[in-house]
Amino acid sequence: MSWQGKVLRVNLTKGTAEAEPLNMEWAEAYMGERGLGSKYLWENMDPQTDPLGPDNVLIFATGPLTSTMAPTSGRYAVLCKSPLTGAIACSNSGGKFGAELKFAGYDLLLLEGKSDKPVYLNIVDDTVEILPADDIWGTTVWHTEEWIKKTHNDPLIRVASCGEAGENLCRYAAVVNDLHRAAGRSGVGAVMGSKNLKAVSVRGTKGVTAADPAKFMAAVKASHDVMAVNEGRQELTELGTNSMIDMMQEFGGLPTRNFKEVQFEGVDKINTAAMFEVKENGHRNMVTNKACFGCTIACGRIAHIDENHFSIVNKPEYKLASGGLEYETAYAFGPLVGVSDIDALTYAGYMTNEHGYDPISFGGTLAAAMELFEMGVITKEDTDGIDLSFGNPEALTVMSEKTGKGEGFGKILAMGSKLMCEKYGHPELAMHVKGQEFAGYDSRALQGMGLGYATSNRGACHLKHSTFGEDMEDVSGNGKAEPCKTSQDHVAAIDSTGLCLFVGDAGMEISHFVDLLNGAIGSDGSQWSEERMMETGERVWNLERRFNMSAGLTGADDTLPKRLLETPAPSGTGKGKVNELSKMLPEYYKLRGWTEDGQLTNELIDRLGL
Amino acid sequence: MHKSLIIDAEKCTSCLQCEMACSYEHTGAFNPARSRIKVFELEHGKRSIPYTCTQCAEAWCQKACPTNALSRNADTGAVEVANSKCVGCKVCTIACPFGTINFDQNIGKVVKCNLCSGDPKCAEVCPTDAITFGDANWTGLNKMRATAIDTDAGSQASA
Amino acid sequence: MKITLKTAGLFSRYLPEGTKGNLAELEVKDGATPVDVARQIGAPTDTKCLIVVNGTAVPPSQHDIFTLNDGDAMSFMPPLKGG
Repeated sequence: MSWQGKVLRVNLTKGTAEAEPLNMEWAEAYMGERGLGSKYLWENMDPQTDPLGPDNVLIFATGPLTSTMAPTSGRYAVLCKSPLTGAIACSNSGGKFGAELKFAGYDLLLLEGKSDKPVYLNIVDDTVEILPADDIWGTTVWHTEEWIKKTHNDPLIRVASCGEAGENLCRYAAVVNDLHRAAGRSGVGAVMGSKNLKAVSVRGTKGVTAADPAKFMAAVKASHDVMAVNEGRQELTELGTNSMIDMMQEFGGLPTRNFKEVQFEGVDKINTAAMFEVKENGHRNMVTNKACFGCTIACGRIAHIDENHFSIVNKPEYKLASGGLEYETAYAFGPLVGVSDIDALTYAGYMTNEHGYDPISFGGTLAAAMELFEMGVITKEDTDGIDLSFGNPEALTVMSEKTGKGEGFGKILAMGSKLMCEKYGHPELAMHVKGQEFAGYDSRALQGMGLGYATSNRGACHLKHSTFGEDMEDVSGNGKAEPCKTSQDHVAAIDSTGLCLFVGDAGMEISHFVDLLNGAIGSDGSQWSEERMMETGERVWNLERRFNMSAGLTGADDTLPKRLLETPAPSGTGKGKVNELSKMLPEYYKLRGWTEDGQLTNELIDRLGL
Repeated sequence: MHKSLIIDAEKCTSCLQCEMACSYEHTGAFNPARSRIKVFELEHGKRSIPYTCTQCAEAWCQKACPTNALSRNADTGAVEVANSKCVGCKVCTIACPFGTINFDQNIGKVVKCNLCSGDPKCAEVCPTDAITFGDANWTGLNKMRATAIDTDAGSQASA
Repeated sequence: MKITLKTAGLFSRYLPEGTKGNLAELEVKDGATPVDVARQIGAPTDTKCLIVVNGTAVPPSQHDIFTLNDGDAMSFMPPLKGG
């Protein structure tokens, strides 16, 4: 149990929705969420498919621990082939939507085809309807959620939608649920938009049970107890993820002005201290912190913009409190584009949530555009008259709105940094891996992070491995391949449970997961262990890799931009260093059991049963 | 001495652990749809407010019940539903001014908070102490204390 | 000898009472290591903590070996997290 045992398969071309039994053999081998979703994707589509065409498959996948009392049990993942990278996309989100989908009786929702007109999918337990979305097409995430709740006269409905950015096929459009939680990366929202699917709304009343309730509740209590007293958990609760920004600044790994620098002079204006500071007029950015489903951390920030700030003087609707800055948004709207106006950053955050797109890719693309502007490659004539100099808060606020709505230069920014920089003849300015922009860690100071970025199956991403400890120990490529590989497998396993990666920063160990899994889905014939989790993670990682190789990617795509490989960091811990990828990568391939050019071997495929 | 649920909405993060604990205790499944305590999220999550039955001393639901299915548990002070007597007429749900007694289609009876027979699971699991279980005579004590501190600070400033 | 101690995140709770912000001057024994400083202020000595002295990170394995000098600026921060 803890599985509902059902997959909801919806064909938008035919307008059909049918439940089918969950393939338990796959569930045993790939667990859930990221792993099981990847398996369903692999088995249901051709990896060479046009990501924005009707044959791409869009999957919403929960895990075995989703919807249970285990801490942070609200996670679900959105999977498809990415229009940003051409690789597999797997973007997970919190909030309350994922749990509701499972309460409605489905472990996975699999969407095929393309509707000929805008629709939304409404799920109330066994009743599934594909309904016209004419009234919400072209409107925001926030409006869509409000409209659906009102139309169905049910405030308990949970909604995930794609915003105008998804409709307009912004390459990094997100699927946003519960107003400000997002499956943010790799353009999963654009795939939703390409299918003419505006939203999925769910109401579930079926409940979820554990296989061994007593064992499960004991494991839940142990997890809750360890997190309650953990310092890392307290830090996430009280300060949120943005407490990282001071540390990255001190370490010298904070990408600044499109990675030309690695420390930002304006960091004190956008860090957690700034978020909590009461200004002379009494305004404080931070309002309160909120949790996703089942989460005893509550790292989410609710903030508001100073009503005198230029971005909202004539827009009273944005005086509301809403999702505030997290580390990655603070980095991408702050140092990366050189802006230190906390209200401008908060406003841009509202735009990404309301219109539905990824703040990291947007910040990375805007930073590249700013460098093009600085070089004179583009001018105010291209940018709708906006001064796109690094550090201009108006460039951030105006372009975040234009990108969300698909207006003017925002249409160019919606291409992502790779396509945009190619268009202007300067591909070297696009800071990306496989087309996806970087998170807020410079890989000249954090060397293992660079290997993780280069080999991540969804393009540059900081959430698919963890080598912080090793990176702090030694600023070189030495000894990074092994922890990178091991942590990738570890994270892939955690991502397949239905819990949030942050529990690892909040005190939970892999042994807690093992106990939770055995209570939730264990049986006499199928017990979980650390070894089985790690093997499952390895299986998931290699399946994703196999998808990418079948889609046409090669080992040559496991690389970093020249700026990180050839231009030494100007300051900080990595001063004078470049990323030593060429040293790490062969070592990593060997550990993975891949060929020298990064291909999977038949032996490995057999061993993992792919 | 009876105890009451003491709710401090300011501390609630809307994690819904209370709804899961409640539904698990009463139905054996994690199922917020069948929880007797609900958390209401307002204004983009700025406010979240847990709410459930306050166990009225003169309970409207009890007075309205035509089958005497509702009675007070002398040990806990909670008004409880006797499923053997409840016919699912829902008159109590109309009589209750607070909406905290509701019909459950799964069982054909009304359900309400019964303080888990004196050991409420919502309070036990709440990670922020937004829900606690304390002296029924002093549910206002924390608020009173906070006000006292404010008042004292004011008088010290003016002194 | 005296050092300047800068903290981040919740570690500001370990700074001497009365400290405003996240910066304090601290009297430490001659030849103190970062771990000595952490102990002195009652903070965790977890090797996952990030320690930077005069702009250069001190590797975890050196936390109890590296000797501080008079006038050094030490930053002392909680473990890095994937945010």
